[in-house]
Amino acid sequence: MKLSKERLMIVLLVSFVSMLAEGIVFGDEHAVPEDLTELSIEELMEVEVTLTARKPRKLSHSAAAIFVITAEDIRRSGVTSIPDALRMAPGIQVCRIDSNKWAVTSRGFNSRYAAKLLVLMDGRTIYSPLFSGTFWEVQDTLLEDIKQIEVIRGPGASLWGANAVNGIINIITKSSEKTRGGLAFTGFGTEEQGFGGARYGDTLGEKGDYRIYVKYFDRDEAANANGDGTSDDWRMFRTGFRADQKLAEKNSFTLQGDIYSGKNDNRSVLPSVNPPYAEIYNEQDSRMSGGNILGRWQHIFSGTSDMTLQIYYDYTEKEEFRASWNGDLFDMDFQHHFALGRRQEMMWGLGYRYYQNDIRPSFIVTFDPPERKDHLFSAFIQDDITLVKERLWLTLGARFEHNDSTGFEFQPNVRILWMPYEKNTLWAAISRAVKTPSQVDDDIKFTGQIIPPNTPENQHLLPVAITFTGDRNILSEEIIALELGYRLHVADQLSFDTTAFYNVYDNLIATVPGLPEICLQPQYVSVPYVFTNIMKGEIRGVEIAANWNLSEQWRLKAAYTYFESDLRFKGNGVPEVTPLTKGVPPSHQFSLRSFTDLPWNLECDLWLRYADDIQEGEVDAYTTLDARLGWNPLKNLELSIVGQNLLEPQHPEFIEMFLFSEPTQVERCVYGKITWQF
Amino acid sequence: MRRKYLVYLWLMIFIPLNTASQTVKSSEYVVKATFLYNFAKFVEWPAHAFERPDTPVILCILGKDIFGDALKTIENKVIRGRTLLIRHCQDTNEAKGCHILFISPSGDKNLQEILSDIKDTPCLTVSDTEAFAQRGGIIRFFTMGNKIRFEINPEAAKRSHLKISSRLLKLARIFKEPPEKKGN
Repeated sequence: MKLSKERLMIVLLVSFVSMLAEGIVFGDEHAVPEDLTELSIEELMEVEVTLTARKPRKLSHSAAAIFVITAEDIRRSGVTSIPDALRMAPGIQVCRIDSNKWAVTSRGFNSRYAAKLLVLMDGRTIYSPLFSGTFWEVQDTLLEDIKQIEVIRGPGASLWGANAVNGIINIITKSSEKTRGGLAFTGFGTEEQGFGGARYGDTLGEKGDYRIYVKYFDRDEAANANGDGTSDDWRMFRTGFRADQKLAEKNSFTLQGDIYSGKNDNRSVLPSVNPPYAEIYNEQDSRMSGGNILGRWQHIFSGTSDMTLQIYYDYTEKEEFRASWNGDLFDMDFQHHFALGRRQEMMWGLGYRYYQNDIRPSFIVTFDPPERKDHLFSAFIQDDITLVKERLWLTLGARFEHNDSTGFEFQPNVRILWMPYEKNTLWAAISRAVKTPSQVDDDIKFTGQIIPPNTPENQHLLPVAITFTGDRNILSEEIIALELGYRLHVADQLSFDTTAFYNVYDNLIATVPGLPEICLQPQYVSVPYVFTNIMKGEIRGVEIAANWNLSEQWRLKAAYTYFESDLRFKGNGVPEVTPLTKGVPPSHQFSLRSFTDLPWNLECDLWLRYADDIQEGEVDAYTTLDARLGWNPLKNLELSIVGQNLLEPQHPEFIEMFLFSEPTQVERCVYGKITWQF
Repeated sequence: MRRKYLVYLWLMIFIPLNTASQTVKSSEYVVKATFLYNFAKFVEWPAHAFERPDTPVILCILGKDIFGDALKTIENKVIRGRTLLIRHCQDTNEAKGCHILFISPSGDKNLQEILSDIKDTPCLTVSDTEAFAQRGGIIRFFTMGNKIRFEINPEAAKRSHLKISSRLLKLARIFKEPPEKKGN
């Protein structure tokens, strides 16, 4: 295929602008179409049209395991947090560790510090570069402003970037054009001890819109196995804005930002080197705060060529284990999409990310060095080739990345999509992705346990500290993933989406004991358990999502996940290794949601969930039910009552080994909410 | 427990960016849909195309619906006593009885087949497809600058027994079929 001069010029021009990148094309939203039928045909001839950027491919056309959680799904589920909304998706494991902590992963390796999932909100990476995982407790927005959450399981590194090893969660908020007017809500309940929020949106100039919002909640503590409170209640305030502007029909700009501030309590038993070798630590008002600002420029060259430039800055501050962390992240992304001939859609981009983390250490957690600055450069290219029109597509993609820890990384993938008939889609993909080491993997020293002296485990005179220790020489964890998917649209009433995957991992990290050292003042023996690329293995599974609309008034949505994993040590004769991958997913996970529209503007929604036992049986299987009753007495007024985890008074969902708080359980709860739109 | 919160004040520094020109702008498909409505106004069908004076005008979209919500702005509009109805169809069999047939780009590859299937029926064929008029289609949309233009093949209209108003013809680019290659 020969590049035309014009295209070549565009490529050169944008390369010149560049520095930046990453591969997200946001849905270009349009306002409700205006009525032009009053115009005479001569007047109509003079109307200029907006050139639309390439529409992202339809769900049924993507060669990836994608599941979309819509705004309506969120509203009718009654969930009050983003992680809880993710329980709807197959392949995703969501566990609430305590009132203010979640463990969320895709296709295995769950933990509070799960690090193989890329999480984005409006193009901004919200996982923490400190440990490549997400502090879910601080990730929130006005749920009413979320347009959709796209959940993509499997590696998406070529297009999405670093950390997209096992999946991507892409939270997309509505364009401000769609949120004109006011909205206010408030409510309270047994766990939700008072929440409220408001948003106001309006036009800004002739071609723009804006919105601002505030949100506050106060959540009660969870319970221990005996039903006693665990002092982990928390509160959070957040506010933000978004403005969208169109400048001429070819340029659109978005500027958005949020700030938040919250406090949580926690009661932990921290290890200590002084008798009695444990210390009760009542964390009071631990701070978590942060903010971000993001600007995006989209320019349309022509109907078949467009570019996006995005820049953001993100700031995070958090206290935990008596330590605190400040993180700054600056990111620039550029991407260009164009049609190359009639059969090829090319997309390429450049990216640069700078982040610095600053740790104020405590006895439990220190980093060496405590301050670190990192640069990440990346480039990607993807070619979508139509092999047979309307029938067969091939996608080739690759990402090249340079990070300060492991240098160059190459992450390619090949995808093929076949639509033998309009309503049948078959796809297959093979991808390689890496999880590059985070600052935790490189630099952490984490005192996980103190073994008191003169005990059967420790016959020495000094206490022994088990110190999980990072290693600067650690390599990236690697995955080769094979995926096969089939979508069947039986009718408008019934559809299925099935994915089978086979992931082969290598260089997975576990800890290996190193040479003990004696520390003075206070005196103790420190046994380092050093992060080492010592495991490998496979995870296999099947994920099914089904929608069944029994009638206009009654709809069902089901999701089922089956997993099996086989992770083992590389080589032989490694007796004393602690796997960090205890987060083996449940073998079976099931969700069934029922939405019923009743007369008198009533809505009745039920959500049944089952999760198999996990963590070698430490956490039992559970079945639970959420229910919501909504009533719209007026068009702009909604009253709802939501019951969560109704089947049992309480149940455990996860035990996090790298936390010192008492294992807690999720309690049955009820809340009421009133939403007013004006 | 003390619950102290800072009150945050957001200062939005965002200068409204006004566009220089005052021309009306709209999305491509809203404009195209409105053109379809106008075509219904400026084309005369033979008497046998309608059963009764109030029989609706049926606009069919063959293949993928690329209009989205845009069609809603013209649906159920009344043109000379006839309501404009919209129908989606997958093949020409379903398109029987349509007065206006918009052929989506997806139907492109068997365009020749589609056109020959409905040949000699009083149906106004419209498409975005390149060389549509050359291949015997009646009206083709194209883009010139940021404006939508259309091309008309009057010979093809005549074969379908349609009378196109001179007001419409005046605005269109006329495609003349070469005399040696009559028909399709």
